[in-house]
Amino acid sequence: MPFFKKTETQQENVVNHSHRHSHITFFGGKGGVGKTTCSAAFAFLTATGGRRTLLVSTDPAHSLGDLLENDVGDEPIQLMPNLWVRELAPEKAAKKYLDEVRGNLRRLASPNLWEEVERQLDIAAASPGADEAALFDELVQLIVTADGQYDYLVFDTAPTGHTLRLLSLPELMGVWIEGMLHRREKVRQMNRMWNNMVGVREERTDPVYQLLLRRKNRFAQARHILLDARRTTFFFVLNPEQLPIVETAKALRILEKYHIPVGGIIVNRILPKEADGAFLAERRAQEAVYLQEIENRFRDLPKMFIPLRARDIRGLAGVQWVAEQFAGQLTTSPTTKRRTTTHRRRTNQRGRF
Amino acid sequence: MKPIHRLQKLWQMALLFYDELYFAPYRQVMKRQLRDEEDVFMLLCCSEMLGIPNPLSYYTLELIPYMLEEYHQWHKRMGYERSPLDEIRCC
Repeated sequence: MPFFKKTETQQENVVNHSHRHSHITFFGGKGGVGKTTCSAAFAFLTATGGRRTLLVSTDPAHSLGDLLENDVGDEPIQLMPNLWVRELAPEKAAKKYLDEVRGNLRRLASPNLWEEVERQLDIAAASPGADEAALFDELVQLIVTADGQYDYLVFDTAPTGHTLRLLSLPELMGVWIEGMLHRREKVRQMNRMWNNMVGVREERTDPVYQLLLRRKNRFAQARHILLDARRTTFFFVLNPEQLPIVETAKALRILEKYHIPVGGIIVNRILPKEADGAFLAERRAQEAVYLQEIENRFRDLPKMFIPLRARDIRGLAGVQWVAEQFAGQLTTSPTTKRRTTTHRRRTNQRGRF
Repeated sequence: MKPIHRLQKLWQMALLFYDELYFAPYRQVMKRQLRDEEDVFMLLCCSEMLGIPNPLSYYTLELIPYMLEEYHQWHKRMGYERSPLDEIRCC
């Protein structure tokens, strides 16, 4: 990925971003490990490197706006040159979608049906699956239309389970839609045969088939982009503690199953050397064990390390500090070649992505 | 009308009758199959309403306006005077 080139080369590539594919970066991990901070820092880096970057939160409980101390909403707002921020609002997307359905209904069905069917649509919009489906729809929309608009899409995702589910949807939905299209196609063929037999010439286009096909193509496109290791990277954020380590290991296995490329691991909140006292010394001894475990478990993944700060990280200034920590460990990268889990590297990956 | 024309017409009708004798059951089978196939599709679209989980149900909502007619045909055929599903009321 170009991002991991040295910053000078980055600057050269600034012009003419229009025809390049955008890069998609996800930040995932257990709740509270610092995904929002790390994704914001990454976006800050790409933006200062001259790349048009959109930082998007997909967590239903958004915290991006809180971190950046800004009123972030569903419309992208520009925070600094090359950096836009957005918090996805699935309920808005669902409403827009249902309004569209309602419009079609009024066009196609007789008025005495409207009220009943619309009531049903409202119930469907409030059903548990709707928000997830709408969020996924928005995500797909963003991914397939990002080219030319942004060089980087950086996703601050919800805690692991939610995100993994979201990323497995293209495959799941793909299978279902494929099945439905197949059946509909069969109906279409039989209708054609029937028409031939009774001597009807006209062949109407089937809107149901067209709609399903459109959906299928969008899902397939999103899936294609998500699985493209040259374009999509997933970073895991974790703390040197037991539960985040275990959860990350599990999540890695699932991502591998769905062939989603993993770019590396960010170990956040490491006790700095200057922290003193007997309590912290003990804490540090335990941390060393976990750091070793991280080393062992995620041997073949690049790693980056962010120290714990005495005070909260807030606002762009705080994000900039984390970005500087990243940058210090990034510029040493010798190649632009992507390393995924399949690239086994025995060496210590500290400081190299 | 000349007798020869009358005979010709009679022959034509006989042919048509023979055709029908052959095609009518065939058409019936065909129509039934077509309906069965449509029903399966209907089931896939509305499966959530019947209690069968369908991850696509949110996305199949947009098909409903186009499928009301088909749905109406279906419940009539199934012997329901009015729509049997609470979720879709077409009549």
